[in-house]
Amino acid sequence: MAKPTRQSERSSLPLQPRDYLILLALADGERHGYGLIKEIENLTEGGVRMDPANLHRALQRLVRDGWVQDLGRLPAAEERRRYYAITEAGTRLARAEAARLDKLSAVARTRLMPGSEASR
Amino acid sequence: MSRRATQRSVSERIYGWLLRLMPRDFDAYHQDALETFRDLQREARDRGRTARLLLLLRLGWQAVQAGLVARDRSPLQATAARQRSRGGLMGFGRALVDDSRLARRSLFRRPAFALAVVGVLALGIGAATSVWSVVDCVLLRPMPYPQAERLVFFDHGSHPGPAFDRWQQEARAFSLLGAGTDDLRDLTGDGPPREVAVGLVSADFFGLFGAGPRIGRLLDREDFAPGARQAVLGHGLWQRRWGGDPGVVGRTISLEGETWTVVGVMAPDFVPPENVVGRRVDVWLPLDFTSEELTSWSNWSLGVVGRLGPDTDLASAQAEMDVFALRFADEQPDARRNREGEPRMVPLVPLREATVGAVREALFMLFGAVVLMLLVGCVNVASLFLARGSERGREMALRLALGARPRRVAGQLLAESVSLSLLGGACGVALAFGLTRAFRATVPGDLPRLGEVAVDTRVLAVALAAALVTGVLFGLAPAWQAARSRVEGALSASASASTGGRRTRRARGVLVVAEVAMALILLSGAGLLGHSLVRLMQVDLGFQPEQITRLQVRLGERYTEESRLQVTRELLNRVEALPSVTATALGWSVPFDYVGNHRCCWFSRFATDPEIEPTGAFVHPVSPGYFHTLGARLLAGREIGWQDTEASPVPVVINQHMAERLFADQSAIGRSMTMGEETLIVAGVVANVKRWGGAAKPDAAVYVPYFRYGIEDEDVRLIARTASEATPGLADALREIVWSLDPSLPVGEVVSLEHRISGSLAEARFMAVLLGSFAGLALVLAAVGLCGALLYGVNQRKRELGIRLAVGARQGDLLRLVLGRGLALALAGLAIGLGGALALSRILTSMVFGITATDPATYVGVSLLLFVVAALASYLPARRAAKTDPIETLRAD
Repeated sequence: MAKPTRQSERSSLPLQPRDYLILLALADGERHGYGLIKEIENLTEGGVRMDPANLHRALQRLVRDGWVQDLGRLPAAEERRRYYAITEAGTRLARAEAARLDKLSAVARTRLMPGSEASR
Repeated sequence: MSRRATQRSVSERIYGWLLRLMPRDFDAYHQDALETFRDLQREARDRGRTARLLLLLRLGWQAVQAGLVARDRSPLQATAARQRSRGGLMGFGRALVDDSRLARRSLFRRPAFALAVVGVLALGIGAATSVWSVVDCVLLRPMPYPQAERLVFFDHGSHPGPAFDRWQQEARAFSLLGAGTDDLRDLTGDGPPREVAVGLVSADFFGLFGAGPRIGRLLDREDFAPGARQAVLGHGLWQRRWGGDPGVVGRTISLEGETWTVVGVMAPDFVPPENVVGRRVDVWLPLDFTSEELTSWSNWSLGVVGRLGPDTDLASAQAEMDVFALRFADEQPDARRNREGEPRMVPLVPLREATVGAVREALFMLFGAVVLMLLVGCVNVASLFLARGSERGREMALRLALGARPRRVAGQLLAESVSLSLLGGACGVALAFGLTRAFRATVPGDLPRLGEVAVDTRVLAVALAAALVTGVLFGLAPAWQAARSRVEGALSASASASTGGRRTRRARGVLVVAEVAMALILLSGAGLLGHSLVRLMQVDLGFQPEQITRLQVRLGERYTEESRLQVTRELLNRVEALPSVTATALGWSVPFDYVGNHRCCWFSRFATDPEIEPTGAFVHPVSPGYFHTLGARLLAGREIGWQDTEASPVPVVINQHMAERLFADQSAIGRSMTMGEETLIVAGVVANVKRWGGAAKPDAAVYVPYFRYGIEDEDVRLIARTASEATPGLADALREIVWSLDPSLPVGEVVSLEHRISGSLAEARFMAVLLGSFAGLALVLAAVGLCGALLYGVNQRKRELGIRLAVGARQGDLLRLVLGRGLALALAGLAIGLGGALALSRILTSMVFGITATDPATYVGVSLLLFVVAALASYLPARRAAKTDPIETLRAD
């Protein structure tokens, strides 16, 4: 398999929403494909239902760019599924994206919902 | 890995296949994506079939999109390929992929068009795939036995035990020989008495057919020693009666009062060779070659199959069999020579041919029909694409003018047609699974190997290839047209009058003619079968089947002749005493009662004069009142009465056919004839009763007194006529009567004769309905095609029509113009189709009844039907033409 080709954080921002969701879902521990779909469904309160083809396509890209690590099949339980974990770089990337979105949300709060700023 | 592959469900296979659309570098993730899909499927399992199907559709569609998008952006191919020139096949393929996004968008803009294409393809491919699956499984796939292609069946009926013995010991052509026969026996104990199908087999049978046990073991060589009494249970019976209890091994069962020890249970997937032991076997028992039946040369009971030795072919094996036949004929002239003194030959036939021979024609015809229908569908799709291709001529021309390469424009059209075809193919595959299941559930009668029928991956591949080829071929035509179209010409106001438009119109005309011709071929096939079916239903059966119920009771061997006589007479009396029954009688043969391996009657020769060659006829023992109960017409004389049992010479009733053959036009009543040693006297002549089915030719029959000749039969068949059509509880009442006589008697099915007769028509009806639905679909498609072609023509010529109206043509003239073109196309198609149908009618010769395969009335009928439909289909566009508003059309340009 090809070695991960590291991409710089900056050139990868802004993240595609799908990739961001995958990184977020992996942030609290490794998951397999099905676990990821379920977790993303949870995170978005059912708003995003990923399908295996697009999910694994995205995972393939994230692994290649070094944001996600492919743990392979865990030997313990004779697992048939592969597990994926977020890497250090991936965590940093997700954090950077979160910060970027945060800034944008702040702008949105002031420009779109002036009332809500006061109420907080 | 391969084990896992076989465990995959259908939806997983489909999904896995769709994932192949992803670029090559996705392969490492393929398996894992499939696992995730499996998890999602599992989660949806509890939500029902529809939910699973919807999930598959959603995820499948997303996978296709992901694949197309990923290919589009795949970094491995993108830069290099894109830099390279657009020329060459690679460049074209690359462009095709690029086009797919555009294609998707443009298809979503025209959902009706996309739906029509996908629907037509799905129907055609689905039907073709499922029929093909049946053809493939029944006719083409090897039988599920080891070295099945080397198995040969010993034809010409059954064979006597000693002959099999000799073959087994002396024949060199075969590496292994097996024999078997079937029988019905009463199983008692461990539940209510039950009739079970028994397969009696020789020692090498299981080895020959590669059978293995589910639990325990099969029969060993020692088990074939007389008196060993070891039995193997069929899987079905084991499940039904013992609930799959493995403890049954070692237990004993009772068959006709004999005790047998169960040594094992047959594997569930073993398919019994049906022309040797029947389709269902409940208990497997060893043949006893020392028994009286199997040591006699004149008892023909064994079905024999051999496996050709490694250096032998069919011809040399046949040569050896012929030598045996001659030798047997010298040693056993009575049994091994026929009436003319010729040796009885035993032809060898490949086992598969022997099993499926009879249905070959019907299945191939069905497949031919479905292929024709698929063709009509494809032609329809092609003309849809053609229409769309020219409709969008302007769009294409505009893009060309703006600098698009013709190849790219063509590529977009091609991408559209390919993605539509693939979608149609996928839906068709889904449909194929449903249709195949439906086919298995509804096909009547004796289609051999039906239990093995399933859609398999090869068939799937064929269907998808068909879809893709359709897409490429028919997508290419308009693409080619678009690529060639002249930019200036197409963009100018007179675009529609350009040569391209005219050429398309001609192409569509040809397609419509082809559609009409194929539809006519299908319609005439369906018409012939339908017409035969009607004839078959109207046939004079020689009796009145309404309100007759048939009851069969198996007395078995426990009864002596004395007690048998008593119990059958008592049975008749008690049934007659039922208030709802008006008449009842016994008979060895009941019309339309297919008795399987139990003979209905026997064949004998009758002579009126020792000088004259005797006439053969079937002998049927019947009780007094038999013809009255059946409602058969007595043409002369009287029925057999109670007094005739002891009379001499024996009074008999003959049928009309026999009377004509023996006595020509003289009166038969009172004439005498001999049957072997006995002298018979004709007491009555009865109309020919159709016994074997409406299509059967009349055969000579002699009815003899039941209580003189028929009493030794193990089965008693009783018919009862009731006063009214519906007599609820009659079946129960009849069973009660039997059990009041002897509670241990197994009672067979209680059925009405009408039910039987309708069952005998089931196969003809099934074929007619199936072919009829294909033909109906083809008719609709042809009508739609014709209508579409004319509408297209009208749209193209709007300007011309407007001008005509403006210069004084009347609406009627335009109506006639368009209608005339439609009818001309239809007539051309009709003429070609009639030629084709007549040329193909030979195939149907053996399937029609009461008419010839060139029956003029049928052909005229279907031609008229097609013509009327074509006229209706032309009327709509014709009216559209007539309604043309000259001012509007002229202003539009």
